[in-house]
Amino acid sequence: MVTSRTTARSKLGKKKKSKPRQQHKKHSTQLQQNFSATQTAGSSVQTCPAKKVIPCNLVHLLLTEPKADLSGKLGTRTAKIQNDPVLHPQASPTLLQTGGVFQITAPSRANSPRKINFQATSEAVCGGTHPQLVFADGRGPGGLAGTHKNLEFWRAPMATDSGMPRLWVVVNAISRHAPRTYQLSASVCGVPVSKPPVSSLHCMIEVFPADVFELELSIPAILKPESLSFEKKSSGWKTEADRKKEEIEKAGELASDEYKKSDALKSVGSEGEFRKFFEDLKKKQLGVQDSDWKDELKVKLTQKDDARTLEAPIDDLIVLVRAIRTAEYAFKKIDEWISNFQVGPGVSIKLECQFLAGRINAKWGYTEYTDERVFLAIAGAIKIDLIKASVDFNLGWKCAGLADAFIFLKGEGTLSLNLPAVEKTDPDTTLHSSVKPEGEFKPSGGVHGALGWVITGDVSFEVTFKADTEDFRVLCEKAILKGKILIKREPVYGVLTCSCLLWGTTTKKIKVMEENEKAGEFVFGG
Amino acid sequence: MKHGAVVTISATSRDALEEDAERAYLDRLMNQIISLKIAGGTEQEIRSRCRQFVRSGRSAGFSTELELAAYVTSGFAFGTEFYDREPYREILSNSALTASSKAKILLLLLDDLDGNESDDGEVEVGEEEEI
Repeated sequence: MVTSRTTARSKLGKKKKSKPRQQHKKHSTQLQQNFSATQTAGSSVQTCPAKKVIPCNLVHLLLTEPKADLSGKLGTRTAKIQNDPVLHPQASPTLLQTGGVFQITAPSRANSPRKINFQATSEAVCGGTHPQLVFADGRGPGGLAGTHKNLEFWRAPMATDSGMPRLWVVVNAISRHAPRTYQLSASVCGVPVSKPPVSSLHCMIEVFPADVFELELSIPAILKPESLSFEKKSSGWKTEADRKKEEIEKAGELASDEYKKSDALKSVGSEGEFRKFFEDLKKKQLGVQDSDWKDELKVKLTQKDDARTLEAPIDDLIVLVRAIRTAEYAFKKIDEWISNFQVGPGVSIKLECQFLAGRINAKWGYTEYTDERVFLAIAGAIKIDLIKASVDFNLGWKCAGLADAFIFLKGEGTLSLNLPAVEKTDPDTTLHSSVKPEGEFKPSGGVHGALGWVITGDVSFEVTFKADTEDFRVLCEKAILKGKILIKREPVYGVLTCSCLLWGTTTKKIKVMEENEKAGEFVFGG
Repeated sequence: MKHGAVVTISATSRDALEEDAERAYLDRLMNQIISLKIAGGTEQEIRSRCRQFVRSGRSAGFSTELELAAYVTSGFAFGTEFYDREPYREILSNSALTASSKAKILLLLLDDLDGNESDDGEVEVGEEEEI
């Protein structure tokens, strides 16, 4: 067979296996390396076995999978294992060299096993106990004197078998799963009739999970686009939700203070319990429902293990949504510096932002190919708006009653992550795992003002948001969805131009805002 | 020495050579068992147990270096009287299987110690099925 092709074996063969497993593998390998299979133990002379004369010779082994799962379609797969150094590409049945690997998929032990017929074909047999078959399957190792054996296989246990764990564990369960390997061999005397002598042949069966996973994730705009309102200088620009959040926190802090002062309260419960009680009370008063976005968050993650279908919980997404909220609060710091000014009449503000709104659809699972290989079939698409925002400020500005200024900031844009529909339907297709954010959001603005009639000034500035990824992999063998998306706000510099009737014009670059390296950080695949 | 001449080794010399070869094989076995870290005790104790397992392995029909090594390693890995317990008893007592096949199955079972091949450790022997 052509060996350069990418198979599930080569992908997962590099996986680090657990230490004990490696050690046990080593036990039998070391024994085979250090002790002769033909030399009599403890003998000083090379024994010369009696020359066998009765024809007894192997031709090939045949593996037949009568109910193969060829991308969801039932079919039959066969592989012939023989001692033949000549390559036979496109052969039917698939031809493998002795020692070759036949890959299959199989369900968990909660289902019926995947069956393989193991057959040894001989040119002739001596009439004794040949051929000897030694095999291992899901029921354990065994042996017999005969020509065939029906073998049964199940996949190795997965983290999802005893109830569905966290969402990301399920999403990436496949890429963390190592296949099981089973060895099969047949041996005879090796006395030919007409063909070359073949005393033994062996091969391996590698078992991958047959589970099919499906993910449909729709993330709504968690904080609805809304215009911010100005209340007073000290509180800055806040949404109604921000203000309610602060009130809840205040109620909690007040409860904590009271708790610390009172020995009676300490005897009743913990500070945390007391604080939570008052925060919940405040939430009810304000009509705040923390889970109101949950109805809009649509996630469907299923694992189909033959007859079983499991659904994953969305706990991890709640963590993700909290990160989105944090990012949106951070975004509002754009206007924090504005709130430090005393704003005069003629205020016009519009600030809208959405983080990480979009859809992810994916379906994946190992499937058997027509030859000896198994591959990870993947289909899916991703479309996520990392930031979708628009800013439009027009503010009149008075400072200590002396200056009149006009400040403005405008812009809109989208930073998005798009992976158009991809599909891997054969083992030779390579899917590119990396996807980079695209688009930009770069609002710009300025200040124009006058101090009395003597001085006039202009400041122009630009705010740049950038998105990047860190070890971000999607829809590939290494991970279905894993890594970080980082959103960064670059430092904001303003170019100040000041004109004075007395001293002329001067220009200076000033830093309006520090950069924010982690304006948003979204972790997938935990 | 003339071409075709026959060299005769005396019985005493042959016994000495055999004894030496047996000692060398036991040394190799002992070192193997120590390196696999499946036995406790002193070198003397391990050597003594190796000798006992080799004796018991020979009486079970194992003769080559690898066959006996598989048997001895199984003794250390699965317990002293493993040959009296299932599934090992069934393998070792199966008259249809050659010593070589039995040794191969023992090697698979050694691989299986960490549960790679079978979850329940069940072993089946000697039953041919219809396809």
